Amino acid sequence: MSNKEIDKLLLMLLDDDSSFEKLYEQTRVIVFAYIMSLVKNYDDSKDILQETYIKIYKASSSYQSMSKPLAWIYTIARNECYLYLRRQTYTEEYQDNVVLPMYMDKDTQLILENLFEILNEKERQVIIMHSLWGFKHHEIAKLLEISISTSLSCYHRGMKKMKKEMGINL
Amino acid sequence: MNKIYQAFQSITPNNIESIKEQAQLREGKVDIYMEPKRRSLYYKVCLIACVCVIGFSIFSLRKDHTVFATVGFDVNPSIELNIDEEEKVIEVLTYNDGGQKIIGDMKLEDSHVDVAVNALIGSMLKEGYIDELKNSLLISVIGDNKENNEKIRQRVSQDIDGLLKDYHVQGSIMSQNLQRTTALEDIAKKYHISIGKAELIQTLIEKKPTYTFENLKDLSVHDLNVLLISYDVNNIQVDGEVSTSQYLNQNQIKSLVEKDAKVTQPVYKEIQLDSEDGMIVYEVEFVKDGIEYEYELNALTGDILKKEIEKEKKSVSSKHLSESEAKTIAMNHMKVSQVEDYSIKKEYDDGVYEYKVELINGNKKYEYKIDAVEGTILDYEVEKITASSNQKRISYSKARSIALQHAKLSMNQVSDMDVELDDNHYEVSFKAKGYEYDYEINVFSGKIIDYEKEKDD
Repeated sequence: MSNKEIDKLLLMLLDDDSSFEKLYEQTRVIVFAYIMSLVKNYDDSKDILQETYIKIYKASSSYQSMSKPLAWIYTIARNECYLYLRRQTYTEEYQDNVVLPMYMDKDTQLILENLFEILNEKERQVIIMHSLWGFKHHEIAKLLEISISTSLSCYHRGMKKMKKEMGINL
Repeated sequence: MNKIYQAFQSITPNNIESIKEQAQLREGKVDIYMEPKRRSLYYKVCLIACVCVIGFSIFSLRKDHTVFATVGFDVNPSIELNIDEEEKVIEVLTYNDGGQKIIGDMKLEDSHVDVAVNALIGSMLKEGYIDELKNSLLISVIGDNKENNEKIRQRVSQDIDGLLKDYHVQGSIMSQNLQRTTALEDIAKKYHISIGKAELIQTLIEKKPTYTFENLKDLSVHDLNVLLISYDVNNIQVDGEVSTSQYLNQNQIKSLVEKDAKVTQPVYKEIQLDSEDGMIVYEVEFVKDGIEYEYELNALTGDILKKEIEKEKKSVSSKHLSESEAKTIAMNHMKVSQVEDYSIKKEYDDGVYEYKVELINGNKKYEYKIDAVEGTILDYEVEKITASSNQKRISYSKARSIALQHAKLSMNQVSDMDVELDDNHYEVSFKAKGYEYDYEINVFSGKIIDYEKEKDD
């Protein structure tokens, strides 16, 4: 889905019920992948995903047309994740354990386990932002406040690790 | 298709309906703050080049300039700029690591205070010390020249408000203008906080004596601002609303406590943000069925930290409701805002004071028994009454005065006055001078149908 289409959906969100549904359908997987990559807990990620879309809905009234609407969605998802992580530190419940879903098919399990166990957080985030969200490396660099070369090397190093571990091209 | 995408696709939940439902229920507006577009290189150079401080009344050792005033910034890290008479920064003081992080490698000395403010705010936003959730900033102008301080305070807080708006952040700027006193300086030193924050805490303590420096010093400036909402203060100017959206809202809190107490629609006496052990909490008090509940919840997580459930003691010394309060309770229950006529009597029955209220509305008579202390409805009845097409009913008070007139007594000579409507006559009873009087009066003509006067025993 192109940026232009997402921009259009966001602009019509409050007037047209189906816009929100379309937007949700088109973006929920990448948003969820991003949240998971940061939060690493499947159950909590589900809640954050829900909250993110509620915020998208509520914030859409002040949304103004932009060329990279995905960055706007990204900002909301990131804020929700940070809020969650901050609360965890606040309540001292923070656990660094990865919690994956109870049931999933073998392929999914293999990919997720590798993503969360072999890659470090930055590599995982850059890969998801680049290959799922379609962000360019200079955009990732800006969003994550890292240099372009770091973004590039994280991506290539991460993909190489995955390939080596799984023996396949992703 | 991308295998990673497929993997996530198979585990991503799909619950659009519940999201839509909640989004529509959720109140309030959400504003998203995006990283502003990078400014030109020139701007960056300028930003790095210029941050400055304000001076005040002692001599700076580093330069020959006199410190004319100090401008303090508190987000949570605290920064103070000492400036000279020309409002150029002579010295930058930071109170903690965060402060140092904000300053980074910026050289603020020798630049004008306005330029320095600009650079500091930019850096605070970039480092995430101000955002849509923690939108508070405390500006303190400290110095001996009150008038001049005030000018600086106004200008700086306006500047900052404008800057934040450029970054799409609705800031809540607290600003104050104070004189440096040794007492304040000692406190600031003792608790390792800035003078501005010390003054802010001092203000809160004056408003609520149970607060202490010990338990407020670790709160962020934003949290202190949240506490400040509950009080009227005039020495601190607050521009812009403090964001409480990081906390649960009152409705969420209500549903949490109601669920825990297993009650519905209680009467809330208090829901207030407060501070406890360096954290922001909600204090909630409500009453249901005469039982008083007190809760304290973590405002961020909704965890219940404390609860007290206490049955209100029914004692004669308890404050009784007024007659008009009792009448209002009955009318609220009837869901009307006015009635044609009414009569109220207070009675003592089985150890409980209660109001007996009779109200006429249309062709119905409502009879309520209301607990005079708690205001709960103990019993009620609705009865159809005969209406006459061409005759108007006389009022309760008219019936009462007819009886009193006949007995040659005035209202202040009698006790236990009771007027009841019974079908097509009023029963008026009262006691006076050792006698008990009973009258039956026709509701339309006002004629006395029957009367008795007996010795009261």
